[in-house]
Amino acid sequence: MELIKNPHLPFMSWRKYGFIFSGTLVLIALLLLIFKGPKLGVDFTGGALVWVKFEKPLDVGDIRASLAKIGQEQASIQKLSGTNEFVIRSVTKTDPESFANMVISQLKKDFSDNPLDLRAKETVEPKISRELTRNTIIGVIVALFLMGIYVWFRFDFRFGVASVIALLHDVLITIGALILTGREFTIVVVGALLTIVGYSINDTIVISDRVRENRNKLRGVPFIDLINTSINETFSRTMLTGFFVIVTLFCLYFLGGPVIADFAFTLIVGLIFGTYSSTFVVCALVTEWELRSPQKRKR
Amino acid sequence: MRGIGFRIALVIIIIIVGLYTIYPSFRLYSAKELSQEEERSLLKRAIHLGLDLKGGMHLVLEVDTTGLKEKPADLRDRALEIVKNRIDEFGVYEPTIEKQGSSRILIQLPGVDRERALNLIRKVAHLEFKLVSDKTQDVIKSMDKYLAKGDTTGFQEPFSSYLFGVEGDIGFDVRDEDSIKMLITQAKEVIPEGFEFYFGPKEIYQGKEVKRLYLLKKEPELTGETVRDAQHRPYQGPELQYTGSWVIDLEFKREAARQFASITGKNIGKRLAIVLDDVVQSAPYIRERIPQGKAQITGNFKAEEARDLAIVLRAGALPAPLKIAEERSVGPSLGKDSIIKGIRASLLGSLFVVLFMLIYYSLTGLIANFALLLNVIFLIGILSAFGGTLTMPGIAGIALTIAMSVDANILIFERIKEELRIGKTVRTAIDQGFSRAWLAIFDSNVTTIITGIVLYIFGTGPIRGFALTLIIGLIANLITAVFVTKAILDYFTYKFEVTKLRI
Repeated sequence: MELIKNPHLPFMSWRKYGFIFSGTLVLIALLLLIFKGPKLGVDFTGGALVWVKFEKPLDVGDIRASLAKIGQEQASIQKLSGTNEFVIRSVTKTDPESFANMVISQLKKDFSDNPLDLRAKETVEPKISRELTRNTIIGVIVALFLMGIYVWFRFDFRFGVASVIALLHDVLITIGALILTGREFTIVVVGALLTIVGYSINDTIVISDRVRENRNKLRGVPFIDLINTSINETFSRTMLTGFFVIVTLFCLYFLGGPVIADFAFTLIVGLIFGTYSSTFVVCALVTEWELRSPQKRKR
Repeated sequence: MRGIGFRIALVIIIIIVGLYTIYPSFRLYSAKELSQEEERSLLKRAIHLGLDLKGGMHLVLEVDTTGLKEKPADLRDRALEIVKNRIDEFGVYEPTIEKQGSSRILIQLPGVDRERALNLIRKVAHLEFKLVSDKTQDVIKSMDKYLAKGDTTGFQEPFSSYLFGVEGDIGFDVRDEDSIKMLITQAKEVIPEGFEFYFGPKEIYQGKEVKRLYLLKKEPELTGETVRDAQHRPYQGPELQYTGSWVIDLEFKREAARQFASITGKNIGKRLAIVLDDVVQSAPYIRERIPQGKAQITGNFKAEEARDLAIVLRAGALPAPLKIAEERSVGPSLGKDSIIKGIRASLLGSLFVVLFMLIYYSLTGLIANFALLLNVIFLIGILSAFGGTLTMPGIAGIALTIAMSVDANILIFERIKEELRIGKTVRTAIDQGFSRAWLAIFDSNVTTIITGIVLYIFGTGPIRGFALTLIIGLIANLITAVFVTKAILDYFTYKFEVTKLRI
């Protein structure tokens, strides 16, 4: 079967629109990052999270009233929709352990006729969370850097630089989407961000690989056509793989339960922009660069 | 088509090895009933479930050195040793207890009663035997006098007014604890040199929450280090208040047993308090000299409490308190939900992929699906063989590996299609398609493996599980998607002399 044939589309003639689109999204993401800021999870702020499940229905108000008795009405209380499950997070960062214990025993006392099941509990001292934050930032930078170096060595310097810019673009836009939808940044979400780095580069490599091959095959062809041909030749693969991965991720998103939903969401957004950026950031940047200062190539 | 027989043989070997390594996991998690012996042997070879799937506790403890005069370098290592002994005796299957950094201990306990385990691990268990002052009443009287003298307002209640009798002891309402503590510090001067006030544990007396108050000699007669053995058993003595409770029998080391005999011999008629972590557990009267080197801790313990206390006393006291720096606990119910949902979602995702591959590439798709299945078997097999752990993100990692595996096959098949389109024969198209796609597959897998390694190094807990499955899955992918698919494709085109390929 063949649904997608070589579409012969002049992708690189549209690169200006690509730059405008990408630039706008990155700008929005940056503005969100600066003015709204990410909703950081316990992992990165330090603090406590208590996740409980009640047998009988309750409201956020009931929980808040109970917590008010121990002076914790400020705590963030989230009801998982369609369940009797609540996620309670501390606002203060000092002594998360005793906050969590206090909350659990107070809820047990106040709702003694409504048995509670402790689903999960996390407490992270601020000191640990600072280390985690540092490790995460280093991790993301190291990953970006390694990808750039790899592409540089396997292809050329310009592709390397463009790839790193594209990766930054993907990660920033995904972060923007996470902030916009009010999702929490946890270690798992950061793991997803790093996975995006891996996937996005993957996509770039497939196209770059074709450019590398076509460079020798299509000597004398203008650079912009060389890039266009390469993108078009790999287009069916790009669409098919993208489709398969998206289907898998949607299954995880809808059926994987709350733990995995944020992870899958991050990957879905990252995947879409990772695929887009291989063409409209990496190739577009390399093309622009080539048109402004042509590289001498061996004939 | 040289070497095709050899390659097919290799594929078969790969399948057999894969099935062999995956079997223990399959048996362990699918069987309804297993003998304990079989379960243990299977567990060694099967894939392990992470705490997020099984439920359990991930703890990072830090040795709390505040309040310590000296800070020996091996403090953490000593604490770790003791924690290890306690957990071993408690009987947790497959605990992880290791050093982290310079002052931390990482503990992972699958499927335990959270509070009980925490109590067991963190109890300092500093046991002391201290003589009770026989002048307690006199001291309280002189404290009253002293406080009345210093009290210029004349409104302050005397110290004794907070106190009342509790089964022959002096007790107070726990709501007055702060006042009691304050008055004790205020009247410090009249408390005889070398003596100190201690409290008992919280208890219910005539419908009130009370604590008992004791005046003890500061210097302990004996400490917990002299305990050779501690065992719990039901209380069998005559006192009604302890009926149905559990006690702990202590046995001293030989030298300490002699000391204990002489202490009890010298202090007949006095009371000897058993103090655990600065709380008086009981203060029995010494009726006679006790030569056998045995003592008993009573205190209305439940069976579990007594058992845990005995474990803690046998393992010894912690050199310093342990602070919880990080805790991640997952209840067993959430773990169960997660694994069911995770597997269901992954299976459905995979099913879609397999179905679409079949529709899109027909017979060739079937071969790709076979390679895919082999990839997953391989991945789980390797994880099992090396005692790897499957976490929730790990399941997502498997799903992603499937996607990457499909990507490799798509790259190859699309390439073969291109070659066929420009009029090459089936066999040349297959050969060229593979060799042309190989570089792209290699590069893209390697870069993802690199990110996986970065994730593994900088990530913690469940994320490491994700990174590990991703790395192994992609390495397996390089083998299965390319080598296996090619071998089978070659075999069929060779055997049936295919001249037209539907792809």
